[in-house]
Amino acid sequence: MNIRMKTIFVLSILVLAVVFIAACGKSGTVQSVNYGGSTTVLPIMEGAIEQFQKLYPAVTVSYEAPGSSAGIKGVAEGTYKLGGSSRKLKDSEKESGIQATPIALDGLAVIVGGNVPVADLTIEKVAKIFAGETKNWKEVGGPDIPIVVINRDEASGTRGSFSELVLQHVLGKDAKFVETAIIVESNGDMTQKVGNTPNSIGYCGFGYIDAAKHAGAKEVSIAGMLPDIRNVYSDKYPLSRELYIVHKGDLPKDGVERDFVNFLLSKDGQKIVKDTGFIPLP
Amino acid sequence: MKKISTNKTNARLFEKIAKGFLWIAAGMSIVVLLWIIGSILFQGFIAISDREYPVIARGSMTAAFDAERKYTAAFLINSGIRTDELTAQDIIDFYSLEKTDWVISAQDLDVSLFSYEAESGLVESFRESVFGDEFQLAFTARPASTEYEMLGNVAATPGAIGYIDSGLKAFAKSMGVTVLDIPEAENKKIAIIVNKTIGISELSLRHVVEIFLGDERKWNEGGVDIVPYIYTTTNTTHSVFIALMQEGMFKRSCTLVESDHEMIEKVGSTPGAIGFIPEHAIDLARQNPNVKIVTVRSVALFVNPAVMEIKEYRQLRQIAEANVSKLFSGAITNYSEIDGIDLPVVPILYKESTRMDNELRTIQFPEGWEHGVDAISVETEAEFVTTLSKTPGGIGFGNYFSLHNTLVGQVLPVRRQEITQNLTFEFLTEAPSKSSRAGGVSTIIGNTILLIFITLLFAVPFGIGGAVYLVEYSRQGMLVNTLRFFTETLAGIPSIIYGLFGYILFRIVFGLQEGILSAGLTLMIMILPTIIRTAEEALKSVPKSYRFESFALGATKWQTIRRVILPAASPGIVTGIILGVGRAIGETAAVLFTCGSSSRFVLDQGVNVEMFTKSARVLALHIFFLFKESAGNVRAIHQAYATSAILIIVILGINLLTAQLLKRMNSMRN
Amino acid sequence: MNDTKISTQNLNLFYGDVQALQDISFDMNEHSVTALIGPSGCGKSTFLRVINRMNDLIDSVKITGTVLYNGNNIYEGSFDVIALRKSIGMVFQKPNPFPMSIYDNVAYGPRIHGIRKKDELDSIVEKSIRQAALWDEVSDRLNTPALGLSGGQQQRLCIARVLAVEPDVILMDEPTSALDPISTAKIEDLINELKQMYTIIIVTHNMQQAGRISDVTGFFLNGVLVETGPTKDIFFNPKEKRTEDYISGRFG
Repeated sequence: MNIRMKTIFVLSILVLAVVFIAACGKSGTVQSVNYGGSTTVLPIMEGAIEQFQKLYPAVTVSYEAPGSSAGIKGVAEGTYKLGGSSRKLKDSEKESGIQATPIALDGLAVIVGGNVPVADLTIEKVAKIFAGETKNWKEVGGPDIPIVVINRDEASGTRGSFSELVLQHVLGKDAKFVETAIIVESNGDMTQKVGNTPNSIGYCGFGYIDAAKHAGAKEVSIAGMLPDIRNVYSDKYPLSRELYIVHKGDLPKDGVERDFVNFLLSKDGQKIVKDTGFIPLP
Repeated sequence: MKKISTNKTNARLFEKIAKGFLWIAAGMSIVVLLWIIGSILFQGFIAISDREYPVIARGSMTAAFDAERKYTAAFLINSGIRTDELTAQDIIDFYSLEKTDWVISAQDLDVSLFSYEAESGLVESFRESVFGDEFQLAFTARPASTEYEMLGNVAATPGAIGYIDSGLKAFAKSMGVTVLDIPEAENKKIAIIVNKTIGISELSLRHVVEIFLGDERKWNEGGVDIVPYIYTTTNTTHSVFIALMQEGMFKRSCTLVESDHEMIEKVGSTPGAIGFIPEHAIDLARQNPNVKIVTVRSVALFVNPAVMEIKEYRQLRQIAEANVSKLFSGAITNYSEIDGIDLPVVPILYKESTRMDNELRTIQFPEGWEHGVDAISVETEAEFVTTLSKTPGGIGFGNYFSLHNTLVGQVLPVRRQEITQNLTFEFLTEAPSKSSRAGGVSTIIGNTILLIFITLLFAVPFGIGGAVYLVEYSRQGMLVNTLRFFTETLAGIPSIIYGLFGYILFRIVFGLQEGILSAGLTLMIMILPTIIRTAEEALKSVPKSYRFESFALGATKWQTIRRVILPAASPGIVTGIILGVGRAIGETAAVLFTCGSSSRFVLDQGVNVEMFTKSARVLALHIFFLFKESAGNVRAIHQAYATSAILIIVILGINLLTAQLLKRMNSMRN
Repeated sequence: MNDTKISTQNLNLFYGDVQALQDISFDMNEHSVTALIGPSGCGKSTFLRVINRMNDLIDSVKITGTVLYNGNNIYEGSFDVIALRKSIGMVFQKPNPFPMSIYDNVAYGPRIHGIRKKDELDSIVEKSIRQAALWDEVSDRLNTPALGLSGGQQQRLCIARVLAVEPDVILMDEPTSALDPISTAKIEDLINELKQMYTIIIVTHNMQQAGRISDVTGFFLNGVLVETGPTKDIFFNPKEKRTEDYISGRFG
């Protein structure tokens, strides 16, 4: 065998190896289930999957987080068996047979930079700040310094919820965020940014309040109500929303998905919700 | 003549300028590199964070549960727990089941609570400080205002349960109500009564607790609803009942021991255990290496409610540690100076040489302690409480355990900057758990190593083979030039496009699941140009004479390549491979869609073919995911830095290794 | 007289369109040293490379005529080139040991021809290095890099490397032109010894060297083999005027 033939031989072995392994992957010798969706729901899902896997070690469950909309779309197309969403389903989505089961509550907290002495705001004031109408801290009892607004990226479900609960609630359906806001890509980034930027204001999920404080930020009460679980349960704190698991149609009775959702709604599952900083269902 | 000398001077000038630019460029790059690497390494090893505590820094080894310090205890924890200090709030959270694991020490351990079997003043006092008087009873509980009303309701309502003073037992029976036989209740001189339709005569204390907390709703399967009755007015029976409830709650959440000896031994032998011992048993505890006595921080700042009111958008919510002593030394006289409302500061302090004052003097304030200003003087805790309530603007120190239930919502948290160790040995050797709130990155390191291994498994043969072909076999022609063009272009493509391509090719077309195989193949494509290019250069730089001499000895082309040329080119080839590895290890975009996010080690179910197609998280992506899943994880940013530090050290190590390897291989030639 | 080892008949060689060798017919005998002399660029090195088919490695080379080795035409289609090169070894002008140890350099040849056993290799290596008159100088450092040797030692190592494959004929292309006089003398002594067992064909443009060590000499000029004969005759009694002019130094 001359050199050329030898090389071709070796190369074809390698290619065959890859194809063989690929074939193995296709045949599904592993029960691997894919869920995906909202980044907000990600910590709950990760925690639940960790516990759930202990009960079902033969199944490998994974959750990706490209965003609520991508999750719902994935469920509609069948790429995901279950999806996570931090926003309500649109009518069009409901019409294609997708259902949403609430699994937790989430509160949205307004946070400010460590040097801002303002500790309480009304929802109207918050809306005006984020819409760019209120530009200086002195208009809300702070020093004469311009407000640095920090906002989330457009794909964020959290941003969508905040817009709905604050901006649109106060200023109407067409209310828009101020264009000069600094954009960050995740709750984690938001806490760091607000913590490190003097005179800033932003928002994050309840689960990130402690991280925000660690980064130097402070939470703001809304009309005297601090962002905490009790105030959400008693409806005194206005900025809260539901988090959902979405699925297509009804879940089959003895499927992994049914068990998973039941696990999320069980005491253990709700404990995970609490541990990750969200609010268990009442 | 003149022209020549001008040119010479110009030349020298240009030379100097060029040299200057070189120095500046070199200097800038070195500074920037050191800065970046330095700051990441710094933050990787040291975590700086702002933390807020309800209590003040520095504490003592014993905690007092009451004002007169009649009841003091030291808290023990199992030595395996990585902390030496606990705040009063932590301890209260543990014993009230608010916190059930040791996430505060970043460990995946459940909390095991220990308490004493026998009722003692110490235990009762501790329980009272943990639960207080107002814990959440069942919301299905119905009200009763007098004992007579209680008896009447319980007698008349099927499924009802209530409580009365045990002195009224006989009277109760006469009203047709069943009195349950419960020893602990008996001890406290209180009787639990139930409607007679419920055919039981005794009940465990645990059940009583569960019923009145609302955890138990029915008397039996599919049967009668439980209807608890509780007093709405504060009377002695109710207080005793609360004490009984506290006893029951402790009993159901703690493991009970009978002696100090047993307490020490059990805490020492149970991972994640916490317990307490009376002060006099401290020496005994010290003898056991499996337990450690934690410092308990239990002194807090209490304020008059007016201090924490909301006025004109302001509310005092915390105070910086550095400012605490300033309030008492007179340096700060109004709360507005520390972002609070406009209210003068009125310090309240214990008289000198009272016990509380002595305790205060043992606390080291960062700014020192100056008892400068005229503070209102009090002598007892009761006096402190009344004075505080009467004085708007009042602020003073108190015992958190004994006062946090009395002065609810009047604790002013203290905020300080803490510097703690970040990247530790444990971080490298423990697996992440609880969504990375506890543990380290060991499994992720394992996944990363396997990923690199698979990448190289494909990249090295293809890379070296390709280079050998290009240099040794092919003739200059269209094929070679086209190949070269594509190779060069591939090297410049942004890695996210590789990621997308890898996703489409390997996950969709080939049908592979996410995992180290898909990701490894994607990375292979990415580093192939680097390896081919450097290998090619290395092969080309081997002197032609070696080839001639080898042929002259009767070797075939393949023998020559294998035995002379490849070994001679190996320093260059190895450099190329290591450069490729360096790039692959830090890749995020290329593996984002192909590798997955599960922090389980792919080999944790044994070595089998599934390891290639399981979701697997690698180091660089972990940093990304930490940000995404940092809800509830205050340490996420620090963990991200620690992971970054690991990556930087690995890459530095790789580069050093390359340099060493090159040195050694070159010495073989000379 | 010795038998003819290598014989060329009407050998022509073209580099593309350029003719480098014209109608060369030359018989070289075994157990003798044949020197090829002539000015630079006259084709003597090219001729040497014909004998072990090293010209095959250069594209655009065309050869006509016959080259017989032990009576067999080495340019016949099915001739085993590998075996040819094993039997006809070559030492190059610039000593170029492989970037390996002394031992590995000498063992290279035997290894590629299939010898694997350590004791066999050990004995071959020792024998070859001794034959190359290098043993005393390197026997204690066989595993050190070959590139650590001096120029003269390296060239003797290259000779040992060739000897290790047990050739029949040794071709040498100006083997001492890059060496100092002492090393040159050592190698000339070596050649004298080696000719008892091997056939040596040496290209040199050092006439004195040719005079010292060779039995037969061939004079090349512009790709033509002008004259061949016993070295004494060529030097003291050349038949051709061109030869005489070259020998007497009228052109160099």
